Amino acid sequence: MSIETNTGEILKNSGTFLASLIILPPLTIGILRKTKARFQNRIGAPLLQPFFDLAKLLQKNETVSEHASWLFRIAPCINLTVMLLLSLLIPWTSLTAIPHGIISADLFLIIYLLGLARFFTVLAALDTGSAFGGFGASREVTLALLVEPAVMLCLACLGVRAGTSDLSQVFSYEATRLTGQYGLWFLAGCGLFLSSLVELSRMPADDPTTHLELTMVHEAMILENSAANLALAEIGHYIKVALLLGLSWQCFMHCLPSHLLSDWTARAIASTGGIISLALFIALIESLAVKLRWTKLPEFIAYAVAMAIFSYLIALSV
Amino acid sequence: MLFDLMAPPNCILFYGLACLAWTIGVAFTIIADLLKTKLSNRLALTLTAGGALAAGIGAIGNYQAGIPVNFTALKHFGLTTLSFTGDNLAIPFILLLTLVALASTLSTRDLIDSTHNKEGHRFQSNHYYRLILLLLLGTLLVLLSANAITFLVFWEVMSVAAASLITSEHVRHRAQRAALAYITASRLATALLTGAFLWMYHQSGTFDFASWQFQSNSTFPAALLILLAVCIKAGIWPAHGYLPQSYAEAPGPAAALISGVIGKTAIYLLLRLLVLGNCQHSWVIYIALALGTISCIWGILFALVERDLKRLLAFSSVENMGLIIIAISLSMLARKEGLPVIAAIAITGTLFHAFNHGVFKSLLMLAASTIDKKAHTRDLAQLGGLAKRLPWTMLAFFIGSVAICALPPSNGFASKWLIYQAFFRMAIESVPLHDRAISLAMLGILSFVGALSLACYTKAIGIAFLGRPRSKQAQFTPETGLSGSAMALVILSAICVFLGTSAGICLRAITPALAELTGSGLDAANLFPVAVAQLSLFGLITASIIYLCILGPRSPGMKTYITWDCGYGPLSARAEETGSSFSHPIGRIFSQVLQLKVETNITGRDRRHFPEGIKVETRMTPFIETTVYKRFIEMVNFSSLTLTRLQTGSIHVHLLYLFLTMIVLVYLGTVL
Repeated sequence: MSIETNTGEILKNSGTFLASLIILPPLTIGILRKTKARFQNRIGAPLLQPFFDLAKLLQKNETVSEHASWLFRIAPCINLTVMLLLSLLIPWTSLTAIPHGIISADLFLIIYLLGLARFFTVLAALDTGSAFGGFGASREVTLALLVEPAVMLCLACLGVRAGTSDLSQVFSYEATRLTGQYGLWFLAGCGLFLSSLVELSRMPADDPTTHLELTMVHEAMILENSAANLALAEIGHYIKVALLLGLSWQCFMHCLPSHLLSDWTARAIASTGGIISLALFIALIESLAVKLRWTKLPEFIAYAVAMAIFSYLIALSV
Repeated sequence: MLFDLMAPPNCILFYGLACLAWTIGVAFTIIADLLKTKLSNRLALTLTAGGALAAGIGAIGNYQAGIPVNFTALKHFGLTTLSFTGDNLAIPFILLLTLVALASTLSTRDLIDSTHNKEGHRFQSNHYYRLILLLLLGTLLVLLSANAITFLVFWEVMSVAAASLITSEHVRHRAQRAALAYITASRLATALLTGAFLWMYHQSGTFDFASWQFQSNSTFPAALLILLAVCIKAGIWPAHGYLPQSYAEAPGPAAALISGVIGKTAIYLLLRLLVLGNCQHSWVIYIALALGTISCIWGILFALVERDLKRLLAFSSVENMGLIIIAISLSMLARKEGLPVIAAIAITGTLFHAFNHGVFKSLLMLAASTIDKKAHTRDLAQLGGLAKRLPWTMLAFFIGSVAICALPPSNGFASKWLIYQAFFRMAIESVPLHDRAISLAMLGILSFVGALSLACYTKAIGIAFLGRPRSKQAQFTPETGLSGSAMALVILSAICVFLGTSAGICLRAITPALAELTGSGLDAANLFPVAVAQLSLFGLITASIIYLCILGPRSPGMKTYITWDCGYGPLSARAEETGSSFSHPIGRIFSQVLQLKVETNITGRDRRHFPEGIKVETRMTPFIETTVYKRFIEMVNFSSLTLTRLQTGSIHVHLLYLFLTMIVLVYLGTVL
């Protein structure tokens, strides 16, 4: 990997990256909600509603449970920080925020950083002693442990075929040992996408818009957060949505014929468009499918694990 | 100047000083017992800590010297000499011993009630100190032993002291059973080791560890026996049954030593014999890999559903020991396949994880003992809300949990990363397909185990420290200031953070041990290229900015209110999530393994909507304990009952036995 020396190139890259990091996550959620509303024959909130919500939350006065400890207000800060770090590490768009070779986007580091964010979220949920928070936390760790092997295997299989655990090299658009491995890319992408649905608390696993706290996972965990605290938790979650959808979309993008994505602009547009189209796809699923019963969820996650096992078999058969 | 002071001959002096201090301590306790007085706490603790410090200085001097220092104490000791050697492999373990010994000494006065214990029995402090000193002495000399006989002698001293320590605080049935289980496991390990050592003596003609090689086929039985002995001592599945019992019953500081250091001596033995002896038997490697993997999953699953905080930590030790055994077997596999770099990564991971686990497990043990001491219970269902009562303990337990879940930027992450990386590289290399398949699958299994341990420790913190107290017992008066035990906890957690954020420096210190074990000239620091320090600095700055800019300015306008309760008014603490309900979804998924059964009994006329009484009972029958162990114990009981018939107590029969033995021996002597 040659370190890019062209300053203009770096500026263009970083600028676009920063813009997409700020705009894309809330916009994705906005598009998702709007599409769902249209499916339900409602006009729906404006596309930029997540921005307005965040702005409103940031101005309000916070209410904290009397049983909460110091963890409760630290957790969203750490959570958002970890997400920002991950946005630099995970190759979720074709852009590279930092030139290659400065910091290695190590696969195991990424998975354990996601774990760190989960650790804080779960503890913050347990901190207030609320029964709902406890439920949500318990479900979150259960889902995470079922999904984790699938995510790890999908990424590790790609890494093993590419011969490196640095994801920025695995996902780079230069010719690597992975070029032309359409089957592996597709399976890994499917595995990651199905896992992301669970990790992001989307429909078959969790209904983010339900009115009943007892059935929720992610929303139950942040039930006690309010005002700026809630805003931070939400921003963190929005970024996580963009990151994980982006990561699985990048896998799909490597399945496309390479001449379509030969130049920088085409790749940038395809990356952004891909995340939005995955959001549209999720909206479609959420409008057509129902939330699965909690006890049926391991069966759904088994599909993600199956994808991971297929990629495992392909990765081994050199 | 200081370095000159610690040069090779002097480091023997320091090791000697450590042994001297501990021996003097043992002598004092015996004298105090004879005089029927109590040895002053201060004197006993000073001797313990002084000895530990001397051992640590000795180890640093030994490290500075860079060459093994040999010392023969007695020319004739049984079949060989009483000789010791301090080499690069022993140094990390000795430093760990020093560290944990100092921490447990610091917390002894807070955790050990030197007047009366719960049952009203007088606590025998002389007895306790004597055993702690013997334990330390035995462990240090086990680590320094140069030959098999010396090793076995001090190995026994260590095991017996540890077993007696388990019963030292409580005179109750459970503690006695735990000690019995511990001593049975140690005896079994010693028996296997003795067999292995005799076999190796037969093969090589010497008892010196340094001259034992495990390459030839004829050494296979010895290698296998050593592996099994190590597995028993380290608490690997299926011999893990005694760990939860014994760790839970041992008094706090002793539990920290036993869980933090004593288990590591087994790992040390495996490194010293099989890795240094270049073991290449595939069967040994794959058995170690399989047992390690099963213990990883088994240990953490049982830790997750455990209600007793100390037993939870003990089961989590089973997991971590499994992880270390896996890493060692991977390094042997890589060496066999001719991949020195992977072997080096795996060995670095092993050494670092063994050290790290010693630090954070003793930290968590001491924290659990602090809770036990304050709340008089370790049952998670009785705890809760301790964050407000034990703030320092909470902070330390939190950092320890981050470390044991291997989350960045803690030390656990660095060591686990190395193990992951070794498997990952193994999957890339052109080795036989089954090795690649195993390595890649191990990545999935390890991430699964990692997620389970995250669930386990979020449960431990969340239920014990957060929320509201679930019982009267958990509502004790808050700790004020930094007591001795809290100080020990804070120091240990600071070490966890330091080892994690400056992993490069710490790994560089491991390099000599690595060079000795693998014979490669690699710098261990280069094997861990993740920029944890930079990332954690960046993260710390970002998180502070976010807090100071967004949450900080709004703190004055913050309102405190009750937790949301659907508008019914404040709910009691019984509405909170309990440990059992937290782990229940996972327990249900793995109910086949855990043998977990939940029975819900709702009574009342219209049972569904207006229940009058709800009774929920969870039952868990550990498969191994009930079927395998029970059969084994029944078998032992049966055979010993049968064998007692031989011993009638009649002198004539015994004379007959002697005579028959003589005849057999004479016959064997003439034939062989």
